[in-house]
Amino acid sequence: MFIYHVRTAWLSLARNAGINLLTVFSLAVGLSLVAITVLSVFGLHTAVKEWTSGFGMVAYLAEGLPTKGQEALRDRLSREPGIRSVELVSAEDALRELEGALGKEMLQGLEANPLPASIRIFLSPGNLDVARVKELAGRLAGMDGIVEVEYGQKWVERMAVAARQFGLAGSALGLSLGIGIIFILSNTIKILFYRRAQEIDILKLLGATQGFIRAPFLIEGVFFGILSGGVAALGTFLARNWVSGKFGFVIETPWPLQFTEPLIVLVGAVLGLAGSFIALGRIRL
Amino acid sequence: MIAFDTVTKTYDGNKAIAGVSFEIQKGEMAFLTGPSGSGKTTLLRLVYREEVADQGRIVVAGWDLNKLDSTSIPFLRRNVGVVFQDFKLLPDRTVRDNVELTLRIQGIADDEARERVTSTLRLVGLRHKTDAYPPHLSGGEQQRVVIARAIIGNPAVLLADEPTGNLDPDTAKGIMDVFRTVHSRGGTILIATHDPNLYEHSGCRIFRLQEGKLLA
Ligand SMILES: Nc1ncnc2c1ncn2[C@@H]1O[C@H](COP(=O)(O)OP(=O)(O)OP(=O)(O)O)[C@@H](O)[C@H]1O
Ligand SMILES: [Mg+2]
Repeated sequence: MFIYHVRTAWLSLARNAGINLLTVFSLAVGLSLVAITVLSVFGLHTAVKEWTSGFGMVAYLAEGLPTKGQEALRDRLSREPGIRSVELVSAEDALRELEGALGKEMLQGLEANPLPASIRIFLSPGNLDVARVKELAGRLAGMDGIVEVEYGQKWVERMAVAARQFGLAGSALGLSLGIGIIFILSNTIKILFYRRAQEIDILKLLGATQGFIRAPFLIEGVFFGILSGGVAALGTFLARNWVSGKFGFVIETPWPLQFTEPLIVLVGAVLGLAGSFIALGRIRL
Repeated sequence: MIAFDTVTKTYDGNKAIAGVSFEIQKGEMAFLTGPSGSGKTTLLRLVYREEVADQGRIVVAGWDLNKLDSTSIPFLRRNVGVVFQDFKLLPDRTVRDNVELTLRIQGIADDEARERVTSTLRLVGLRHKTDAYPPHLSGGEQQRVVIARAIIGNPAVLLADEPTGNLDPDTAKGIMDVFRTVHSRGGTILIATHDPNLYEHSGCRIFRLQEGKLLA
């Protein structure tokens, strides 16, 4: 019986192939926009994360801390979670680096080395968000022997705020696109339904139940969703590969990235079912 | 099998059916006649619950239509085969698909459905038109498709509304033969018609309607 309904639905779709292709195409555009929005949101998150870890931190050490103490501190920091590696920079090394950068003549007048010793900290990527970086910096600053901790506070925070706002805007955009898709679908199904009003009257006279009459329309909605989901998935796949090929940038998503396309088809099918449910719910048989 | 008890149906204040009572037994074939507008179609529509009586009581195949809720209507209709005056065929489906619809609606599966369609089309003499589309058939052929669709589900009651209207006498006779076959197999049949040739000498009971009333 299910196969009979599927066949009925398919024939109905095929009968008005031209106009239905148009619908599939516009739905596919909508679904692609949703997919691209979602991927952009996660892409920005990935970017912020990588950027944050690239910043690293510098802990400035107290003046007069003996080399032994500096080294002990370095070893201690290297065991902190969230820190990938550390590098001890003595006051002399720092001065040498400065000379290298500015030229020896510039620093000729200096009598004593004004630079403090420091530990450069490289953060491990992966477990980095702004809150944790901040918390780590605060903890390090409180340790004996550390005077000050510096990192790209301002930038990291701004980026995080931007990413959050982008995420909100993206969710709003995705949601309204989704509603738009359901709206188009439910209208399409409604039109199909009214176009077949005569047929439905006949079915009722022959003893068809509401379920029998509605089933092909639900399936048609799912067909629409799957077809446009397929087109959108293809588009998204190409776009995604182009981005990673061009920028070598792989977006981190909560799902395995290669599931993105099947997921789009699934979302299409679910939206299709929702659309026809709404359409049929409004129609009195 | 069909029982009307003082049934009245009013359209905009005009009584299309006025206090009609009658009873048709299981296995009986009967005729309903009367001039145009006398209420024949309306009476049949009351039987398969396309119209609801304003007054009186109707019982069809054991269903009391006054107590029928809307979800039961499809199941009543599966017990009532109807040959519609205006055919109600689906023009874009083949003869086979049109006839098969009755069975599909009842959830009867592929193999059995196919077999029954073939034998029913043979019964009405349309085996060779199985894959044709209704608009390409003659009036008499379309009429027989409608009959095939009405009888294929073995309904408890078969109603026919002017089944030989606009047909030549030979074709009309062929169609009556189909009804007689169904009747000989125990079918309960009510045929509405203007055509005296159908019911004269038939030996069947004849109900005569005039302005919505049954004449004695
Ligand atoms: N849906 C309706 N709305 C209003 N009046 C109706 C409706 N259906 C039937 N009537 C009226 O009820 C009366 C009986 O109509 P009906 O169709 O039952 O006659 P009939 O005996 O079948 O006629 P015919 O032989 O021409 O088919 C007519 O006066 C008709 O105008
Ligand atoms: Mg009539």
